[in-house]
Amino acid sequence: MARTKPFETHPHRYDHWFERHRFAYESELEAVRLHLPLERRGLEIGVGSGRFAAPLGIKFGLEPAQKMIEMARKRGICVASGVAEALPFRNASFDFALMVTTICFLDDINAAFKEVHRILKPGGSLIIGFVDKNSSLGKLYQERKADNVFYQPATFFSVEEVVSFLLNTGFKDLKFTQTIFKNLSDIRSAEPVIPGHGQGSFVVIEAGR
Amino acid sequence: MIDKELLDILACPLCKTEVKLEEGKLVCVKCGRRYPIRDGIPIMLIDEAELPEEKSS
Repeated sequence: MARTKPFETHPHRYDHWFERHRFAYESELEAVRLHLPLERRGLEIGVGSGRFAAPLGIKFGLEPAQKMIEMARKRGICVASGVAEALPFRNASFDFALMVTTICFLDDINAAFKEVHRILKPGGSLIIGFVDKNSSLGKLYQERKADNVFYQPATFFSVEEVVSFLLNTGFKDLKFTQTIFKNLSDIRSAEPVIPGHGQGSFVVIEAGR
Repeated sequence: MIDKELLDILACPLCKTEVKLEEGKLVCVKCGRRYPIRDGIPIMLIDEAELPEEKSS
């Protein structure tokens, strides 16, 4: 079962992160937005409290944590309860799927990517946003893992690892965007959002079906 | 009330085949598992589904 416990026990603490780190949040949103097809049917997997789906105009969300579902619903998202490894959708249902800071809480990333491939239409895309394990923030999160209720159950991945899982599950034409170049506590304005990976802590990968 | 567009794309997470709304539950047309709807949210978790032989009525 997906690692939902911290999201059920500390829902408001989770949601408040986005207020406390407003500029980091806005930078992440901008990096994701660059990869979203417009006017298409999209699904956010691990929609959480709807902090990405709502401003990005994504109608559908999937989420296993009940407390998160309630919050996402208040933000106008049409949510179903479910997990990425066994997606409750028919084949070729969506033009795109988004996963933001979700892969670190999955039980089986390979099974999840296979499922996403199945529910995407031909020509559709999977967009993944995550903290690179080898970035400065990724290293900090790993060091402080034991003290952080949200990251304690998380498994962090490097860009290379995620790329390998994507290619092994049939995805192609990968594109990269990065942002968050400073420590979170030093960010006082929106961070640059630039192509590639290796410098930014938050990486977006767009993968074609 | 479940969104019509959502109902049209929902599937059994096990069989990946369509589900039909029956007596307030989403029933897989293939395996017969019955997925509950709570406060309008379809609970599409395999562990939460009732197996066909467990149907009480």
